[in-house]
Amino acid sequence: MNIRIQILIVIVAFLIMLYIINKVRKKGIELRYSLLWLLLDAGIIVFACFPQITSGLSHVLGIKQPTNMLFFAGFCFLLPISFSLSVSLSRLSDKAKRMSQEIALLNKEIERISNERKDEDVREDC
Amino acid sequence: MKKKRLIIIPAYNESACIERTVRDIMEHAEGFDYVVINDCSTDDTREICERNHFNLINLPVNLGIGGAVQTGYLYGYRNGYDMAVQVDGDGQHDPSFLCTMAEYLEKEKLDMVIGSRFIEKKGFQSSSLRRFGIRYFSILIRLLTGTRITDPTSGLRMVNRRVMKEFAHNYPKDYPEPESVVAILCRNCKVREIPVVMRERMGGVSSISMKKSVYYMIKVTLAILFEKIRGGKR
Repeated sequence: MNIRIQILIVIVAFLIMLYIINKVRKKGIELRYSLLWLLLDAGIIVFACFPQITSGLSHVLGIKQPTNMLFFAGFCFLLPISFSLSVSLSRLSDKAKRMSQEIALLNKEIERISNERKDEDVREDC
Repeated sequence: MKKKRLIIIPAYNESACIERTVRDIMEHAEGFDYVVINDCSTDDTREICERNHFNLINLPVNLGIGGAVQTGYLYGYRNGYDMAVQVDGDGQHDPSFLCTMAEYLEKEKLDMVIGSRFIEKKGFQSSSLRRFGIRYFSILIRLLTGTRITDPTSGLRMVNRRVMKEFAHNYPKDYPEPESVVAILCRNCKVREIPVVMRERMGGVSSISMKKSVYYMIKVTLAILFEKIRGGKR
């Protein structure tokens, strides 16, 4: 790998890391959801600094091109992330459903009570 | 003590016929209370109901048919109703059958009574393609649970308090009918059908368009299988 591209990748990965950390700081993303992304970013930095690891690993796994292995590894990393997102989405939509139902029933209750009050007021006036 | 009976009317953009449906119910379903669940309609369904002082629950966001009907079961369960029946807001269901259904449910000590179009084959019978789909689900349910349900997609269903609690807790989000029948069959509930006559809808459109029907078939088939796998456990 060319030293220039190595430096570029490391710089970009560092910027992304800073961006994620800043996001966590500002509570734009929960720490637990950011962990995987931080891990991925750290992995990219390690692989960019030490290309020997990539070629060594791909040799062990029997993959001819180290780049192929990197693509495959990235793919394998992203799949569980997106699946876990689907899981949290399902849980979230269930909670949102239950909450809007409760709100609807509460509104109904409030309306009933305020109507009763109004009736009482009318009776008192008479 | 007299049994408290509730009619749940889910309504999403039913301004064309909600008023007629509710008036029909008030006239023909004696001994029943009703509640309209407005699923955050974008037309003036809400205004029409408020103008007429209908008993109305407004959902703050659109939940789809499953979530809307579930709100009704929740309302019924918390307000001490002994029976609840779902009647669609589009006027397909004839409210004059409700009393018969309630009596049947009580007399036979059933957990659910389904109004079926296909026992006496009278009235609106749906298109042939839809009938084919319904037959398919009917066979599937019979294979899995051993119970014969001729009209598993019927929205006209009356349940007792036990099933009401079950549904308040757990109800599918979309295309809920066949799936929820299997769910309660797996919990050893007694489900029977009685013949009813359904009308063609007075207005509005079916939630199952041609494009969605493929998704519908696959989703409901899988949902039924999953209910069977769960085997009544949560």
